[in-house]
Amino acid sequence: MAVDVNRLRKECVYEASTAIEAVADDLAQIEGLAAEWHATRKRLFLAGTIAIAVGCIGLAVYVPVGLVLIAIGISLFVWTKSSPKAVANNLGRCELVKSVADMLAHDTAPGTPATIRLAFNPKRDLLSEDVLPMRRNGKQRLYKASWLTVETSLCDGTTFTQTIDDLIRQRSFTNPRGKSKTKTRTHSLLGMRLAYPQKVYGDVTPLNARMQKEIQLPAASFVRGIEVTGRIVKVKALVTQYGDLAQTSSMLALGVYRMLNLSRELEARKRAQSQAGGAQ
Amino acid sequence: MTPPLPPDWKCPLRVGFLFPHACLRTTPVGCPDCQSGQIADPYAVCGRYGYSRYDYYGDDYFFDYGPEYGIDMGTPGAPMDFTEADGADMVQTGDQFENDMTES
Repeated sequence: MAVDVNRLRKECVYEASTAIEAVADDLAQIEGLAAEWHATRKRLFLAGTIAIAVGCIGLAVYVPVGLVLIAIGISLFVWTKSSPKAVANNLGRCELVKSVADMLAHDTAPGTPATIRLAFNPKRDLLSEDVLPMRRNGKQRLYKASWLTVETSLCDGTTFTQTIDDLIRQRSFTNPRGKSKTKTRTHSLLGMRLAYPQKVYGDVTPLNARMQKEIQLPAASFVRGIEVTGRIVKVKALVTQYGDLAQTSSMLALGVYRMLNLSRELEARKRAQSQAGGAQ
Repeated sequence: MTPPLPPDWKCPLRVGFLFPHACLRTTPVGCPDCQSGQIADPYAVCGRYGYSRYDYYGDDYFFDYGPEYGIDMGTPGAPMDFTEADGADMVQTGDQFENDMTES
């Protein structure tokens, strides 16, 4: 499935329901577009700067020519908006989605559709706004920006859903020299939901406590919550280093599945025991 | 030379990253999992970051959770061949062992 270029340009969103193996091709296309847009922006910016500079000189020589050149320069600056920089600035997200798709491709049947929504410039939702004590004009705002949703069916019958939200803390204040300062820190909240078939895995609820111990994550990532029911496993991890997102995603899924696999084995042994008992 | 595969042949090896499942490819040629038949158990050798023994569960897993799954750990056919009770029956005190002339 081809990328909706117009939507990507206007909203900076890639949304598709396509075979998991085809996701990498779409993302490669997005990377190509982002490089092209980046080069276009650079060219337009340079041309606009030159036009305004020459226009300023032109004002001294012949005012109408100078005004026209300045107008052209401004329009070139406005034109750069048609090549969004958010896609190029967040190309790391393409790499992450490729990594998730690659992981899932090992355990999905060929041609299984995956629903993906990847936002390069997501809307920030304000979660809270507080006064920052000990700072002049200090304010702290917390935002949440959801930028990834991936959903697909694995070949064991499990429905896999992964989401990533950025949690942004923005602190603004006036320093002793009277300058306004803004400091931003971004962490990511990785959510995973696995709706597993009870017929295959039984009820995983008894392994709830063990799951927390089994999940191994990179040093800068932490499990923030686990919820296990008879049909669903939900886990959340806080990732403090952006570069760890792909690895955290894989390790989180591995930790959950290590327990699901154990549950499947226990179920199989129970069945074997009851069959052996019935035969005697 | 490798003999030709039957027409309805499907790869019996187990593959997967998160869980084991049948490969079911119709030829091993060019297979990224078994490297064209070079790897006997692609699932076991798949790299999994810090999970070095991903597919292995110690006895404690079964002793701890077996009863919760309704497995009777003390009857024949139980998942473990030996239980703690079996272990106690096999223990002989040092004197008994030394004085037992039936062995060696």
